[in-house]
Amino acid sequence: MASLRDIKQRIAGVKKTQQITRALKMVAAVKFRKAQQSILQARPYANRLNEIVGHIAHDLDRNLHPLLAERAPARIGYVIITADQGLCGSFNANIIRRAEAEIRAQEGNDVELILIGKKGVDYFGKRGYKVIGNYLKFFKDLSFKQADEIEDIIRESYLKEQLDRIYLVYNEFKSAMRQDVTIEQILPIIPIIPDESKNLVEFNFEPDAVKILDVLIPRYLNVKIWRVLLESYTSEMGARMTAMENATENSNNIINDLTLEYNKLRQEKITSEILEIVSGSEALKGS
Amino acid sequence: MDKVFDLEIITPLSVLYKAKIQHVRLPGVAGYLGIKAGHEPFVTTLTIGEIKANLENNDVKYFATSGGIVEVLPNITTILVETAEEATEINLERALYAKERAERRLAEKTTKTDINRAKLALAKAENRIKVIKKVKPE
Repeated sequence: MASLRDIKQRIAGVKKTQQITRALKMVAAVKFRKAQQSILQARPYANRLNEIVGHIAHDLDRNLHPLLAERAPARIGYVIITADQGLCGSFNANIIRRAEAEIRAQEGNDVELILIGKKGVDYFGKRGYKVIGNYLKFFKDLSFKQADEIEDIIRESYLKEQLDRIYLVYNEFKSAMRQDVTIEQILPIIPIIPDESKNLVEFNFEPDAVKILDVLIPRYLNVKIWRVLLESYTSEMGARMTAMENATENSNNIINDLTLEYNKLRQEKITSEILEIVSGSEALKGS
Repeated sequence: MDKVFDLEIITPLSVLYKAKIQHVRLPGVAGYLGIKAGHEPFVTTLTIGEIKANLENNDVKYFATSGGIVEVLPNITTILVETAEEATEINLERALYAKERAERRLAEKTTKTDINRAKLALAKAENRIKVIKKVKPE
C-alpha cells in the first residue's frame, strides 16, 4: 500500500502537470482567438472567389484553360495538412486516418503526397509513400508567401502532367470543440452551377475569358490554399485549447481523489496510533 | 426610381459593403462601366479607380479601389477587390504623404521595379485623393 509520502509526491507531480496543461491552454486560447478572427475575415472573399471561378468554369469549354482541363486520373496528389505538435486531442490522428483510407481507395493509381506539418511528415514518411514535398514549421508565422509556395508546386505538377488530380486534406474549423476532416479537390477546378438563374445564358467576358482566367486562377488557388491553411491552424488551436482544458480538468479530479486517499490514510494512521497508546496505557494499568 | 439589385464589395480582410442599389459605376480595365439591375451576366477585371454606387434611397457612395474583379449576375453584383475604402474613411493626409513619397521616388534614379512600384503607389494615392474630394470638396 502507498505510504503517505508516496501520495504526497504524486499529488505534487500531478499539480506540476496541471500547471503545464493550464499554460498550454492559455497559450492556445490566445492564438485561437487571433486565428479565429483571421479565418472569419478570410472566408467571405475566398468563398465568393471560389464561386466566381466555379461559375466561369461551368460556363466555359473546359479545354480553354489548362487548369480546367480534366484528365483521366492516374496520378493523384494529396496535400495533407497536419500540425507540427501533438497535445491537441485527435486532431492529427483524424486527418491521418482519413487520408490513409482515401489513399487506399485509390488502388491502381499512383499517389503522391505533399505533407504540411511534422505529424504528417513523420507518419507518412516512414511508411513508404511517395512524398514530393515536406513542409515543417509552416504555421509559426503563417503568411501569404507560404500559400504561394504550395500553389507553385501543385500548379507546376498539374501543368507538367505529373499529377492529374489534386486534393487538399485538412481540418475545417467549425468551433473550438469541433473540426471536420475535409477532402476537397483543388485541381482541376470544379465547375459550380450558378443557382441564382437556372436558365442562365452565357457569361460575357471583358477583355476575354482566357485573359481573365490567367489573372484569376493563380489568385484563386492562392486564396484557397491560404484559407485552408488558416482553417487547419484555427482548428489546431481550438483542438489544443479544448484538449488542454480537459487535461486540466482531469488532473483536478485526480488531485481530489489523491487528496481524499491521503486524508483517509492519515486518519487511519492517527486512529491506529491512538489505539496503540490507549491499549498501552490499559496494559500498564492492569499490571 | 430604377429597379434595385444587390451589391457586395468584399476584400480579403472583410465584407466591406453590402446594400441594395440602383446603379453602380466601376473602373473596368477598358474604361468605366455602369451596371443596372438585370444586367446580363458578365465578368471583368477592375483597375485602380473609383466605385460609385447609387443607393436605394438615392444617396451616393464613393469608394477608392486598387483593382480586382467583378462578377455581374442579374440580381447581384459582387466586387472582389484587393483593397477598397469608402471615401469618408480615407485619410487625406496619408494619401498626400504617399503621393509625395511616390513622386520623390520617381524623381530619384532607381531600378526599374522600384519605378514601377512607385508609379503604382502614385496612381493609388492620386486615386484616393480624387475620391475623397467627391465627399469633401475644398
